[in-house]
Amino acid sequence: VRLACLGIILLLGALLFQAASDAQTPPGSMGMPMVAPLFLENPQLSSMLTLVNSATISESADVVLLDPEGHQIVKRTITLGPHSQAEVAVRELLEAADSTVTMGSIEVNASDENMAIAAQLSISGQSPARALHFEEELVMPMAQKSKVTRAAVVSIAGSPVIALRSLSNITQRITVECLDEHTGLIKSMVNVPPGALVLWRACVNDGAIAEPFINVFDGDESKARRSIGLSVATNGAPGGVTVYGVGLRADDTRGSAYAPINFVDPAQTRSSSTVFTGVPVGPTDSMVGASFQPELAVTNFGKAPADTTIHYSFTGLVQVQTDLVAHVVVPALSTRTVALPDLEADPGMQNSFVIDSSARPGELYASMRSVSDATSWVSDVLGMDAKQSHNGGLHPWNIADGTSSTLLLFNHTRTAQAFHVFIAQETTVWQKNYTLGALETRAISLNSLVATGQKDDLGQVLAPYPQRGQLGWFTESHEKGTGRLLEGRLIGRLARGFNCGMCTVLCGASTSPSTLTLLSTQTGTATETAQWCTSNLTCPGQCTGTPTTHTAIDQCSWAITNNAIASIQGSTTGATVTIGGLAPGLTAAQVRVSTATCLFIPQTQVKVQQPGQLYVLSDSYKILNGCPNTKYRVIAYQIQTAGGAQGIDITLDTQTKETFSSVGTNTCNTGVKTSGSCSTDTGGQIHDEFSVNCNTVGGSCGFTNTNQQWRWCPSNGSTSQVIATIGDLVVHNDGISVGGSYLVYPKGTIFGPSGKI
Amino acid sequence: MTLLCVLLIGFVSLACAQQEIEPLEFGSVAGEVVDQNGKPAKGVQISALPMEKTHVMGKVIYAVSGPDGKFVLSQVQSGLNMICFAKETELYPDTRFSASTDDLSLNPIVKVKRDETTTGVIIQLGRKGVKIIGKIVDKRTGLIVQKTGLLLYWSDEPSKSVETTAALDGTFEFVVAPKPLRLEVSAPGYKHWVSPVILAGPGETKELRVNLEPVT
Repeated sequence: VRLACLGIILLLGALLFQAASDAQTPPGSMGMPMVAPLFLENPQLSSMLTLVNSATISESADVVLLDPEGHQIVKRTITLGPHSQAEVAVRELLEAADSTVTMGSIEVNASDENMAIAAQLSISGQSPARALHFEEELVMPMAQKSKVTRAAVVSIAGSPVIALRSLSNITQRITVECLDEHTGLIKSMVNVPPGALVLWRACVNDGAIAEPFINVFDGDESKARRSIGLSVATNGAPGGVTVYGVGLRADDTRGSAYAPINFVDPAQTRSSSTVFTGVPVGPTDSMVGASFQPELAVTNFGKAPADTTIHYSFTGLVQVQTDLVAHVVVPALSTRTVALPDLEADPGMQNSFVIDSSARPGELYASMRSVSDATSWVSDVLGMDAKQSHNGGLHPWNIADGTSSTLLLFNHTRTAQAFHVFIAQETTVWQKNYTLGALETRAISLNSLVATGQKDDLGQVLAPYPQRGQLGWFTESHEKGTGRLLEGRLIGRLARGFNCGMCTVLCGASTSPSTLTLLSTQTGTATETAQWCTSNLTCPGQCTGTPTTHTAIDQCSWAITNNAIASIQGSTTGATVTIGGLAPGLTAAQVRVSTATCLFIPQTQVKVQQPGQLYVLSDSYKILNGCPNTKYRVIAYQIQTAGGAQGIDITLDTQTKETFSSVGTNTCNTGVKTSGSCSTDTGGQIHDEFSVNCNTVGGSCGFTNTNQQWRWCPSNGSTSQVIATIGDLVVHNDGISVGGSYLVYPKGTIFGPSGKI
Repeated sequence: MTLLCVLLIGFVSLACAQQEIEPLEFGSVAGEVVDQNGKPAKGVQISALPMEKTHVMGKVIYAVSGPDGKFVLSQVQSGLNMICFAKETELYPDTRFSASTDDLSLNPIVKVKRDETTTGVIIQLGRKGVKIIGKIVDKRTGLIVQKTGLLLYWSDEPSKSVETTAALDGTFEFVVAPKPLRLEVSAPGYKHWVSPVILAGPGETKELRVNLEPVT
């Protein structure tokens, strides 16, 4: 469910949610949009909702605040421009509604079934000597498959407080299991009224309601720092309760600090491997002055010991190094903090972890945090299922006011994978294809892309302004990679991780032109364009959907169905190929465009033609401007393929020339000459004019040229070929005979190589 | 305007009458075609009519304006040239010919130098011509008449004419200036046929059915 922060919100869900969010009526246990179970708004902590729109058009979403009893406090419609982000301050919404509520829940509901919105809640503030910040992933209850949701959290003090937000219209009996690393299983039960928000101390004996005073997370220092696992089960329907938790990470002279606890439905976990992408380890460039040490814990919710290995991969300047850095057997129903050795690391955060276990999917949970004690800078890293159904991510980016944004991508597979990255900045969608080797982590700094003006695969660059927008990435199918966006702020020592997933599939491919017409010695090009769609219903996607604006590079392979007619010259695997005509005929250039799960084979029809005859379009005597007393005749020919009446017009620009067996003397003394060199006939049409032109001789002066022939000049420089023999030209001042006829030829007359047909 | 045309035609006639035969040299002409509203016009055929020297017989060299209206016409004889245009699909007749236009001032006169390109030539399309189409059949049988001779001319100035024959299927088509016209049709074994004056406005198409009466 953590992955459900992807706000692909269905109209159906929206309609159902309308009833659920009614101010006075507790919601029914039905499918719903995204929910943040807990917001906090008090003098110490504030909540900020970030929305991202991946659509190519403006979209809107209703943001609804609910009080602890489930009553609507305020609803505001937020409109997001194409490929944009928006931040919604909860404090502002509460003030607008004159509400003094300090905690509650948020529901986000899209208005359009095609809307693709990601949302995430950030809770931040300032304790006496340190910045406070933690992220809350929004939950999509309608995607919940089981009645259970689980989490692990590394190294906290006291009892975590979990927010239980009912989405049901019945009172639910909630069973909470705390797998405390020190004390083992602590079980408690609590009734949650319809629609209510209950804060529950999950790791004290029998549990306890936590009153919603300001420092609700403080006041329990009874237990030393250790790691825990949490399991929450309802007796209601799946999705009847959403859960979010907060633990006390530190409480010292610098004040309190908290750790987020994001819950995941075990039924949605597809593998026994958890991936942590782009973990700050050691000195980190984008968070200057801080040296990070990762902390890791694992909880085994299963009934058998889980053999667990921790592999660490860091990407250096020349290679990826992967090491087994820890091995632990986690007993059934227990939690262990895993000691990690000192690790060699990349300062660009190109460091990732993979936790593998022998437990069944959904039984072993891992939690990781990277801490810089010297500066109290903390980066919580969300673990991802190695076989998550999403194949991409959708995040905001921001480089304003000294903020750094770094997209961190990790290929956790054993083969190279293509990652398609698109970064939207107003109307520009910068897009680039990155290939990551096995177990390679790639950090892509938005600040660097902008500062250096790096070009994308289309030659575009990101402008210096605006300094924020939306970005996304995807692999060609799911299970091929993970990613997140890390936003770092020197002021306040913030490290915000954005983890929302999305599904993008190859949903079509086309070629252009649809028909490529070539002369038999010509070359032309055909181009393939893949279409990518964001799935709005299921993940993994079904190779269908609404195309997005990005044009990622794909796997493609071209072939000609009849190589006697045309052939591909050069590479057959590029988006654009060169096709050469060989012989007259019809064939096709097919291209296989594929990902691991989707295949499309569009084709361009290739028509190869060869000039073979001339077709008379018109033949007329006209009066040339300024020369009224001299005969002037002009014949317009269309170049055709051979075949007599079945000849086909060749409308390509074609090169021809005329030749004669002999050229006679012009008795009009006008110096008429013929054009005997090859020249281009636009659209395959020849206009041949005959006249001795204005002269002072008059009468029947003129000349005779014998055996006029038209020749096609092949573009490859080979010998010209006769396509039409017209015959003798007798061009006199008072009469013009072409091919033995003073009378004009009717339209439709055809001349072939041997003469009139 | 009339005076200008007279002068222009006279000048061209005089130029054509020169006896001096000089070696032919070529340059190019580049410019833009715009419509009556000044917007780029694409697909217009551009050709040059030499005014000082005998023009080359044979294949007519055309350029075609692009989507931005721009064109480059090569193999233009050096010296003064009248730049002519045509787009008969949109009823702009070829202004090379006398029956096609009554406003020669629309054809720019440019000087072309050997191996150089004369740039900045602007062609503005004038008013459209008219299209005369029809079919010639035997009045009694309705069958197509072959070997016809057609002469279309301005009724008030018969020297402005076009002479051709009908297509093999008996049809014919002209695109000429929007002037009062007359069509004469002859064919072996049939009485000579003369149309009444044909009146059509710019951009209009007139269809004629010519029923030839056999000679008894």
